[in-house]
This record gives sequence, C-alpha cells and structure tokens, in this order.
Amino acid sequence: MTLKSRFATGGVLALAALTLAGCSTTAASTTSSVSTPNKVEPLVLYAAEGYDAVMAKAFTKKTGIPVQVDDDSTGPLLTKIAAEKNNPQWSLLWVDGDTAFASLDKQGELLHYAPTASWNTVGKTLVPLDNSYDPTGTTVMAGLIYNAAAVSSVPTTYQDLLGAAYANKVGMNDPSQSGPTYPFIAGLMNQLGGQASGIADGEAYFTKLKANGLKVYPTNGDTLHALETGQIDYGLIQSSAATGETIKVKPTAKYQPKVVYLEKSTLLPSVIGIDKGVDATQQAEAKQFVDFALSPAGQAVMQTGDASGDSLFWPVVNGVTPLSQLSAFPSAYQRIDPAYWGPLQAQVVTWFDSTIK
Amino acid sequence: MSTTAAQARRAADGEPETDRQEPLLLVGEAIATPARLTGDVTVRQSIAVTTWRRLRRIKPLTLFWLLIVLILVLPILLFLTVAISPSLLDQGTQAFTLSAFADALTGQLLVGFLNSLIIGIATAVISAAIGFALSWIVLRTDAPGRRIWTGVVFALLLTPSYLIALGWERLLEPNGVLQVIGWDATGLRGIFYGPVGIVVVLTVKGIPFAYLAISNALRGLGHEYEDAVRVHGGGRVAAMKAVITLLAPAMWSALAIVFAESISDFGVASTLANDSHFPVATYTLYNAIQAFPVNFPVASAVSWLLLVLVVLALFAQNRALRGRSFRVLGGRSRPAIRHQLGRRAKVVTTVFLALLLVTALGVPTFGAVAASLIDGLGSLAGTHQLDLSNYQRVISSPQLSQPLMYSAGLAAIAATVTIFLAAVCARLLANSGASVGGRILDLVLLAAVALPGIVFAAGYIFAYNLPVVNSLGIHIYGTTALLLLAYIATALPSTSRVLVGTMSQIQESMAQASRVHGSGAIRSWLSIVLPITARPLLTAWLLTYTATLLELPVSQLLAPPGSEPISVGITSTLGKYDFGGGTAMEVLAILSALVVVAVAYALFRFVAPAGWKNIGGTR
Amino acid sequence: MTVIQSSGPARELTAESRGEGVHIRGVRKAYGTVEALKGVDLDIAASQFTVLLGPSGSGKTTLLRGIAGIERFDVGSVHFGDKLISRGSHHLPSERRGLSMVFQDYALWPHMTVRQNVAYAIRRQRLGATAAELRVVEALDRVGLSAKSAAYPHELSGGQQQRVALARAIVGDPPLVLFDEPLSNLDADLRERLRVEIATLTRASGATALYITHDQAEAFALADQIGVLNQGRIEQLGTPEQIYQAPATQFVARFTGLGGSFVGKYVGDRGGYGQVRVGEHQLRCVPSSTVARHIDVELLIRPTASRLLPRPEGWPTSASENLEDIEATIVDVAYRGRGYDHVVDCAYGRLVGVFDVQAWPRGTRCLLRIEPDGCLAFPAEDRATRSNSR
Repeated sequence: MTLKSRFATGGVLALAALTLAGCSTTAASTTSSVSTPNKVEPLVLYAAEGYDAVMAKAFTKKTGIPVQVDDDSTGPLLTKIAAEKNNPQWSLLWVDGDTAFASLDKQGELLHYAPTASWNTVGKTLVPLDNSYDPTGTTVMAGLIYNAAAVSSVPTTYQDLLGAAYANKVGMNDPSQSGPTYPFIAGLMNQLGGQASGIADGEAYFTKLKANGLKVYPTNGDTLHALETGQIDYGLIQSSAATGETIKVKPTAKYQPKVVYLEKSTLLPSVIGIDKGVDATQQAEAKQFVDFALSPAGQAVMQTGDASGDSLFWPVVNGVTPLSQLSAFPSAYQRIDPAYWGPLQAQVVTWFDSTIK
Repeated sequence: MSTTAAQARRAADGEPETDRQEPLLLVGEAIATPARLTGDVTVRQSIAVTTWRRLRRIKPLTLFWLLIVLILVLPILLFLTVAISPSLLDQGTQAFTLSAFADALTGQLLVGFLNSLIIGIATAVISAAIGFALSWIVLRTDAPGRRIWTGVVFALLLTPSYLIALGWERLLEPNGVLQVIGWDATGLRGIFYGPVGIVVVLTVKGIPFAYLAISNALRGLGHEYEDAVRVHGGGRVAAMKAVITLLAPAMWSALAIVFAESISDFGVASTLANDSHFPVATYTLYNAIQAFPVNFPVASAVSWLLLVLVVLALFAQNRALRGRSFRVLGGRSRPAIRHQLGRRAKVVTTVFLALLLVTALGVPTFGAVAASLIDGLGSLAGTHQLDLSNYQRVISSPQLSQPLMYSAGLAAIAATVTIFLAAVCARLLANSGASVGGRILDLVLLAAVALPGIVFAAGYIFAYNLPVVNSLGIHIYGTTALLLLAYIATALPSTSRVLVGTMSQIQESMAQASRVHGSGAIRSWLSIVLPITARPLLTAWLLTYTATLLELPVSQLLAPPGSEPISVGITSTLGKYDFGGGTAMEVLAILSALVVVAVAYALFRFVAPAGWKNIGGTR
Repeated sequence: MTVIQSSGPARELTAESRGEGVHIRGVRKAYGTVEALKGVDLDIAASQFTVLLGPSGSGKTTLLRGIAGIERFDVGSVHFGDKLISRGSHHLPSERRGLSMVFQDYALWPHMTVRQNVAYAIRRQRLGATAAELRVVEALDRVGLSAKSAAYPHELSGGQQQRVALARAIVGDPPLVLFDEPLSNLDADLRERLRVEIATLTRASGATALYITHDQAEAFALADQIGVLNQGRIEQLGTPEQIYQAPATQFVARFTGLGGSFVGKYVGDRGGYGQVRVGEHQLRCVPSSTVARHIDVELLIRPTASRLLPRPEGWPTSASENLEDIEATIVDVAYRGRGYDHVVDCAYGRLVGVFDVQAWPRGTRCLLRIEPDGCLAFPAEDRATRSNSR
C-alpha cells in the first residue's frame, strides 16, 4: 500500500520533527542534574489552591525564581504524582488535606523541612513532628450551611441531625467525587469510634443519618445548589465554600444562608510539601517558597487570590488575621491522623457508595 | 513467499534495494504477525539511529506501525503491565502477582461489568439507529430544516456531558424548572436518574460519532442500489435494508466506537446514577485512582477486564463483516436523488428532528443558560436575573484567551496530523477481515477508547517519564510535544472509524489507475484519493479539532506546567464553584469551535473544485 | 528510464518500433495457500496484440496486474525489452513502468472531467500545456467523445465511460497497453463496436497490447497471439488458428468452443486423419499426440465442423456403406441473421451450434456429417477430471 503509507511517512516525519522540537525546548527548561550555586532553576508547583497562581507570581517578583504552576484539582494532581513515582517531575505540591502527604512521606518522597514560622495553637496541632510537610492555613469539614429563611432550628451537634426536625432536609457531598468529603466522614468516624474502636460507630451514624433522609450530591457546588433551590435546608460542606456562599449571595426573603460549626470540626489544612527528588538548587528554592507562604506577606497574598473560596482559611501562624467574613474559629475541633485514616479511604468510600449514597 | 527468503535472495543477488512497492491489496500480509512486527520495529529502530539514508529505505508502513506502537501500544501495554508487575514501574514491590485482580474482582465489579455491557450495547444501538435515521433524512430527503444538522452535530460533539447532565438535572430536580412551571417531574426523575438517564446522556454524546461515520459512507453510496431494490419489487423498507447492509462497515464502526466510549464513561454514570445504586465497571477503577496512594495495579486490572469487552465487540464486528466487499465508490457512482417526502412523512420527520434537537441540544443549552446567565448557582426560584455579567467577566480575562489560543493551536495541529494517520488506519481497518495487522490495529484503537482517558494518560506518564528514557537524553514528558502526541492518539480511534466507511468504499482501481498512468504514490494520493475523500476528510478534521479542543483527562495529566489547556482552566474554575464563569468559558470555547466549523464548510463550498463536490453530492 | 523516454519522441517513429516486447519467466504468485500462478513463461513480441484467455480463477488477472505493477510476483522475472522490471525484491513501481491500462470497472476518477481524466495520463510526459491539450483533444476525437470533454464520468453512459478509459490509455502513446476485461460490463452491441475500436486504435498506435478475457470470441477477434490459461498455467500459446485447429489439451479445446462430444475407440490412421469407431459409425478426426490405437477417446466437435444433410428415403438401407453420416433429429433452431443455428440429438449425444443457411424445422429427422478438421480426438478422461478442468 505504498501510496497510503508513503504518505504516512510524511506524517511520521512531521511528528518526529515536532517531537524533537519538544525535546530541545525541554532540555532547556527542565531541571538539569548539575547545579551551580547561583543558578536559578524554575520551580514546578503542582497546586489545587485558588490562590496558587497569584502566590507564584508574588514569589517570583520577590525572589526572581520563576515558578511553573500546574493548577488543577487535587485528584488529577495526585494521580499525576503517583504515575511519576519512578521519576518525579514536581518540586512542590500544595493541596487541601494531609492524608496524601502522609502517604507520600511513607514512600520517602518528601523532603522534611521545618520553616521559620511561629505556629499558633491550631498550627501546632497540624504540623507533623518530623516536619515532613507544612500546613499553610486551614479550613474545616464540615461547615453546616443552612437556609435561615426556611428553617429555624439550628443543630449544635451531629447527633442533632438524626432528629425529626432534620428529616429529609440534610445534604452532603459524595466522597467519590468531592475531595474534602472523605476527611469529613473519617473525622466523624474518628470522633465516634476513634482509632481504638474503628469505623463501625461512624458507619452506624451515617446509616442512621441516611435513614433520616440524608441526600448526597456530587460536590460542594451541587450541594449548595440543592440548598438554594430548597431541595434541602442544611448542607454539610467545606467551611470555605460555605462562607463563600454567604458572601456571594444577597439574602432574600426566601434564602438566607448561614453557617454554623458542629462539634467537632475536623481540620482540613491546605498543605505544602517538597519533593525529595529534586536537586539541591530547587530544594533550596522550594524551602524559600514555603517560608514565603508562611510569612505575613505571603499569607496576605493568599488571602487575596480567591476571596470567596480558598482564601477563606484560618491562619496557622501567629500574627495573621483571618478574612473578616470568616466566623470565629470553631472551638471544638480535631485533627485526624492521616497515617491511620489515609489507608482506609478506598474501603470507606466504597462502603459509603454502596450503603449510603 | 516469506519476506525473509526474499531478503536472503536480494542479499545474494546483490541487487539494489530501490523502488520497492507494496501492492495495495496486500497491506495485511505486509504487516504480518505481531511477533514479526515487534522484531521488525526493534531492528528498524537501530537502523533509524544510524543514518538518514537508511531511514529512507524503511518501509513507510513500518514507520506507521512504529508510530502506532509509540503513541498507543506502548502506553497501553505499560499501564496494563502494572496489574501483573507493579514493581516494574515502581507501583509496588512484587515483580509478578495476580493480587490486583483478586482485589479488583469483587461482586460489585462483576455487577458493574454487566451494567456497563448493557449500557454500552443500548447506547451503541440507539446511537447508530438515530445516526442512520439522521443521515438518511439529511442526505436523502427534502425534510425541512435538514441543513442545520451538520452544525447541530458538531455542537453536540462539543457539548460536555456535564452540561447535558446539568440541563436534565435543572429540569427534573425537586423545585426544578418543570416543577416551577407546574409539572410533577417525580416519576420522570425516578426513571431518568438511573440506567435510562445514563443511556440518554451517553447516546446524545454518541450520536455525533454515529452520524459522521454513517453519513460519510451514505454520501459515497450511489442511488443505483436503492433503485435496484425498488425495480425488483422491494418496497421502501427493503431499499433501506439494502442500504444499511451496504453501509455495514460504517454502521459497525459507529457501534464499536460508541460502545467503547460508553463503557469507559464514569462521569455521567456517577452523576446520574448517584443515588440509584447502579455501579458501572469503571467505578472500581476510579475509586482506585481517587484514593491516595493511588492504586494503579487495581486500576490496571480493571482495564484488562474492559479490554475483554472490547474484544467481544470486535468479535461481533468481524463476524458481521467477514468476507464481504463494500467497494461502491468509483467513476461509475452517480449522485443520489433526494426523496420528495409526502405530507405525512414530512410531519413525522419534522417531529423526529424537533424532538431530537430539543433532547440533544436544547437540554444542555438550557443547562448552559441556567448556569452561565444566572448569577450564583443557577437557582431559578430566587430573584436572580438573566444577565451577561459572567460573559463580560471571562471574555476579557487572560484565563480564557491564553488557554483557548493554546488549545486551539494544539487542536489544529493534532487534527491535521490525525487525519493523515486516520486515513491510513481506516484503510487498514477497512480490510481488517483479511489481515492480522488490521485486526491488531482495530483492537489497539478501540482499547484506547475503552480505557478511561485518565488511565490512558497515566500510561503516557509511565512510558515517557521512565528514568531510562531520560537517561537517553529524551525529555519529552512535560512538554507540549507529548501532549500533542497524546491528543493525536486519543483522537485517532474515533477519527479512523469515522473514515472507515469512506475508505472501504473507494474502489482500489482508483489509485491503481493513477499509478499505472504514471503518478507516484504521493501524487496519486494527493490527486486522486484526497479529492475523492475530501469531504469526509474535512469532516474528520473538524471532528478531531472539536474533540481535542475540550479534551480533559489527557490535558490534565500531560499539559506542561505553566501552559494551561482551556479544558483544565474551565474545570478548575468549575471546581472553585464558579459555575457561572466556568460555564461561560465553556460556552465561548464551544462557539469559537463552531465558528471554525462554519468557516471550514464555507471554504469547502466556495473554494473546492466542482468535481470534488460531485462526490457525495445529491441532485 | 528508457521506457518512458521512448514514448515522447516515439510519435515520429514507425509504429513497429514503438512497442516494447514483454518477457516473463517463471512467475509464481500465491494468496495464502491458494496458488494463483504456478510458474508462467510468456513472450510477447513488440507491437503484438496478445490475448490471455481463461476462465475466472485461471490466474489471468493476477498475471496482468503483476505486469502492471499493481501486484508483485512472489517468484520470477519480468522484462520489458531488455529492461528488468521485476525480479525477486526488485520491483519497479507501476508509475515507472511506462505503460497504460484499461480497467474492467473503467476506473475513471469521479472528481475529474473527461478531459482531466485523459490529460492525467500524459502528465508524466511533461508536455507544454498547448501540446498536452492537443494530444487530449486528438485522443478524445479518436474515440468520438470530443463533445463530452467537459462532462463528469457519472454523466456518461457505460460505453462512453469505457471510451474515455480507452482514450486515457492511448493518449500518451505508451509502448504497452494492458486491458483488463474491458468489455465485460457492456452489452453485446457495444462490445462489438468497442472491440473494433480497441483493435484498430491500439494497432494504429503501434503499442504492444496485452488483453485478458474469458470470452473466446473476443479473443479470436482481437488477437495476434492467444495464451490459454488454466489453473495458474499457460496451457497453450499460439495464433488463433493454431489454438482453434490444433488445441494442445482437452481444456483448450473445450474452452475455445465446442458443439458437443462423442465417446469412441481409436482404431487407427487413414488418409492423414485418425479413425474412431463410435457405435456403428466410423468417424475421421484429428488425433492429439497422446492418442494411441485401441484406447477410448473423446471426440470434441467444433460447431463449425458439423453439417446437416437430408435423410434419403428408406434410410438406413441395409447395404449402406456410409459409416460417417449419423441419423439425427432437430431439437431446436435459432435464427442468427446469416442463417440458423440448430441443436441436434443423435444416438451418441447432442450437438449445439450446427449451422445451416436454411432452417430445419424442429423434429425433422436428418443426417449429421462431421468434418474431420473440426473433430478432435483426445484420450478419454474419467468424468471427475473432466468436470474439474472445465
């Protein structure tokens, strides 16, 4: 089939040319193994935070170190990191939740670094002893957002939600589609059964919640939509999304979103970690980035990037004031041990999918 | 006579190895068995490194196969290897194990497989039926409104399934639009949120492939076959039966591609069957990838099982097409004649088209309007006003323009390369009944579709981020070039299948006559095959362009840091609950692609020589 | 390449010198386990018109396509003149063989007009636009289609389409023209007319022609030389007269036209002919070289070799010395313009195509006389072999 295939050759050659072109540009831009002390190498930041792009810009402006941001959802980023395992290409990972970092550290992929930050109380709870990764702020799971125009009863504990007043009125996200939701489920399991008695008590709680008419929507946005349209009156979502909704929506006679925190709130920190595999130059640069993120200047930038979303975090370092729209930090909170709850994720999500959803 | 014998003799004779030609008919034999193929490839690779002069002597078809191996076979195989040898790619400690299969094979997975099979078959059959009906109405009747359908089909192709699902949701949900205007949607909701809804949404996504594949083939089919049936006493139904039989390669292409697309779906199933407990095969796979540490071995084990479904589909196709010829396109084909529809038929087709339009395009459009023109999260019950603020916000934002230009450029390059490769693939697939190579290609292409995009992209990372690849001085992972190759690989299966119908119709004598009368291979292709297939090739180009523009999973995993494809930008905007902004970006991206489609067809209409337009034209 | 170069200035040369001889040695071709060609040798003299005749599956198409370069022989060599075209893995692509071809399905390109289709074939000669245009007009003129030069193929009738294909084949004055059953898709009247055009136009161009067909009448009418193919081999190569009068094998005899056949015993030679006893009759025949005394033979009778005679009153007379005339009955009669073809039954079988200028009414009893020159004796084969070779 010469005529077709000759012609295929053309395509192949064109591709080969493209490929080669690609190779040469990378050769210039990717990390080289030999590094000289004063040489600047670009950092590769895998991030899923609303403020990651502005932070990268601010950091480059301050230090002159270029940062290439791969801004995406947490799921694809972690998939990418897992697939790159035998040859990592990232220098920094910055996403919500510490379970992934605990797992990365267990596999020896993280460079331990203790930044020169002054942690506040919450920060001290979150920082791992070995400094394998660092929190840069925290949200909690869940914020209970409710429509004050439609209902008057406001729960204070999770047990309250099992009562008749809340029948068929509560909604939450699907852990197989919403990143922050597994930490929420794990948090309740931790609170109810704990690492000693396992997940059975937590499962029993969700089963009862389901019996009381719990509704499950894919993600934060869908749960909020259900709340707006009156399909539910109470939604269990991430604190930043809940607070963001109260900022974005002008209250009406029919819809007045308000947020409360039930006992206990599970901390869902935004976490940054450094790839152990990068060369010394990049390691040094990455450490600078972490220090910058925890500095007052950096925290201020983080608070501007996504004013109705991810910027609505509570600081974990002293000397930083949270955005004014955020309510006071919930007094009853807990940190769940990522080393224990991380590995249970697949099991719990599957259970949730087949039993609760 | 075996090739090796020929080579031996050539060496003995000391003859120059020039001007060898592959006969058109024997493509299959030339490709030979997989064992030989790989052997050939390794040998050829080493030659390729040595000198250019030698490279020129490599059979062009070998180069084609080399490329197929690099962009499709290698990533897929490496991903599949993870299930049995996790340690090979650092995804575990065992060098050989079957434990991933044991972990994957739960009762839920088996139920999921059965469900996926049913969904896949139902979606494929309905899509092909609608695709055929639509092709027939648009190309063979004078039904009113038929002209808009090419545009509609491309709009469907571009419409993300999330908008389709969103549109239905907004209509049917409690306190949704239907309820607000006084319809009780409870019953409909019960039906829709489950297998029926999944099939509906996937069918809407499947119709474009089916329509493009079938209409391309129908264009090449002259009217004489229908006339023959009518003359010999067959009715209109019998004539249509004959046409369907003659279109078999295109019909099966459509069935196979839609089937494969459907079984690899997860998003639609997870959204619509969210609370109806309708697990699909990909559930286990996504769960394995969603958790951290990502469990690639289990995802890989599920992929093996998805391949079993693909093999079943191909088996059915080969049985149906075996030993038949569908070559009807040549110098003697005459343009078809449009049926003048009677009044009743006109009413029926109009109603059918209108229903299809509303279901397929109206609902997602409504979803898009609800999401992007209404502030907040799209509640209609509140005091929200329709306004364009979301569009004003994104249209001036660099978050839209830069990624859109980046994606559009990549999509255009990918489409251009892909149609050439796809033409070769389609030619091989058209002969697949006869050759081992064609069958292998068929399997590889369909496997690429049946594996969810994220898995396919992970395979790319495995293949091109290997330390050994880097140590050879090749740093292709993390570059736009690799993203482009992956786009091409992703688009190749469906583009090839859209062209199969046409390629199986071209009579071989068309190109042979050109060669015999003194034109070389390339000129023959350009002066004969290209013009005869110009319209299908244009369609295929547009298909690839539009499909690539908004491609998500591969973009997410393979886009180089610092360069953001538009789909990733949209998704991350949506992920930050900015439904309005994200959807507005999406709508603008879709409109930009539709402009490209319109310009391309207009150019063809005004610039292409009259003879090109004769083919597949209708009097 | 010499072949191509010769075609340009060839217009000034004599017709004889333009054609190119074709020499084929030991070519074989298999599709999987099926052997299409089992070792064929063939020589075609320059400017000769050769027809390859054979049933479907005999390998004639494969042979033609191999010569055209559309397919590749597994083994064997092809030379045009003394130029090597194909041997082993050396294989000149079609476009460099300098030939042209008329396809069974015409293979006109649907996106080109008649003029463009024809002009395509002389692009390789790189003539100026005016010169090329002249050649195209002339070629279309020769096939009587100059008025249709702006039409597209689908606007033409089948006969016109094949004329365009013919014009395309001769426009460049190629040294070799191949014909792949070009008349098989046409009706009888057109076939006859187009056959004449092919014969005259090709001969006038001086090209060597190779033509394949399964129709023996077509072959006899066109050929300077006929090769009869059977099961991948050439069974006989010769002039039409040689093939008809002295077929080398039963297959050749049967495939080139038979009225019928009788079974008998060979009894010896007499007066330059063989003698065969069939029932009570003794018929003279042309024995094949493999016939010997006292063996059973089959008499293959050409339609042209049988004549009808009136049956005298009182036949058969007991004292009749006439052992050659066979009593027969007219079964059917068909008007053929110049006369009538009859179907005749006798004690030894049925003969068809028995010609007479007068009609013999159905049911008439008559005598049948077989001319020895058209009566060919071959050793009898068992039935199985015979049906196989058909």
